[in-house]
Amino acid sequence: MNNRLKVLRAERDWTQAQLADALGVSRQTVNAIEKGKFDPSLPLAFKAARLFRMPIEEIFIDEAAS
Amino acid sequence: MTGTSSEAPHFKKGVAQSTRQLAIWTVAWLVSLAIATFGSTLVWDSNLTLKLSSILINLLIGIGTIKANVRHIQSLDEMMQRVHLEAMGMAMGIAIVAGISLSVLSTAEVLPFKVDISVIVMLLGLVYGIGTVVGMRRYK
Repeated sequence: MNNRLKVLRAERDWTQAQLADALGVSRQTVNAIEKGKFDPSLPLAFKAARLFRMPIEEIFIDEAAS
Repeated sequence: MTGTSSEAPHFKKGVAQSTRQLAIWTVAWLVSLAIATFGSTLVWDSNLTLKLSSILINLLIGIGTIKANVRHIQSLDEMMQRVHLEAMGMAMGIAIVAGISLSVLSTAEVLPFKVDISVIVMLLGLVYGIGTVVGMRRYK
């Protein structure tokens, strides 16, 4: 699964640590998600969508569907 | 930064607190184990009540340590939980397979030494530690 987390974070000038704090996860987890090494759970993906005020499918892209 | 930033202190504080509690319980368990082991052989050798009491206390503190470990795992985020789950799976599998193999070898009198439970415990700890480090590196 691809995602635009890094781009969205950079647009807001947030650090990984700030995003991790906002999502209630560790900085390592944010880093792994951004690099596509770890796919977040649905609740965490929805939390990210709420944080960025965007639909979930605009942040997380299913590779199989594209 | 706005949004759900109020969760930040909760997560970090929760992990720090559960780690601290796990450390306290583990130290208490090790101390009670040392008391139960060495006390029974060196101090109260002939007192059955003291022997049983020290072992019971060790067992009760052990249950507390298990609960603290579960709470610690629950306090971690989903990726850290997965890393620990995979490490635990590997440790448990290796401990069972190696434990049974060593037991069979010991029963067949192939080994020149007697297999002790501590060997399995050390192996389990070692594999769990390595599994956690490898897991963390994989998601880096």
